[in-house]
Amino acid sequence: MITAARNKAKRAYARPNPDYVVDYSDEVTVEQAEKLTQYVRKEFERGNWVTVEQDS
Amino acid sequence: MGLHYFDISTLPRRYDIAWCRFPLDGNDAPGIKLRPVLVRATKRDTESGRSAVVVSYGTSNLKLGRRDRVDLVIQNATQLNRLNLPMATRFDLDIMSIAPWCSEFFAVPNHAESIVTGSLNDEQIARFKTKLKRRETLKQMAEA
Repeated sequence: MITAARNKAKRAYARPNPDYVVDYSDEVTVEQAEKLTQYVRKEFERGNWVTVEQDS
Repeated sequence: MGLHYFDISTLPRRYDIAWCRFPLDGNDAPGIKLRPVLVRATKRDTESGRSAVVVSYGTSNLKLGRRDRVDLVIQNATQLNRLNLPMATRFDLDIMSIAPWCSEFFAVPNHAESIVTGSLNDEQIARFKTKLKRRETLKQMAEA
């Protein structure tokens, strides 16, 4: 039932970019994740961020 | 940074599978590799149209027998097809990241028509929750 409610029409945001490749053979490391955190840190320092949904 | 945020109406839902440009490249900018991520939470900025997703990363490095007890593994061919995952995938629940919901970080993979390619079904959600509980139990045992 939950799944049924969540099934929506496909949401297309853009066309595929041929420059991108699907490659996820490597595991993500903590160091890589930390780099992302540092990269986007400023985005979350301004504004009023609230949670919409989260793990229950 | 000048990120190009998607409209908040397109924000994925919890338990959706989306495609993320990760890891960052040598210049610490989003790279050309796309990997599936499991959306675990979503956030929005009430003062702007910006939004973000909290994700766990997928890998085709399954590590069966070692990690499948604590990570979510999807390898059933029907389910892989339904979620538009091109190969068996383990979502590593160790690491979570928050990423802006923007075109710099999320893109449509060549084999699909949208960034969000599916949602976990009820059985998978239940399995995901079981993994989280097992992790909590193991953590408590380790601390005892």
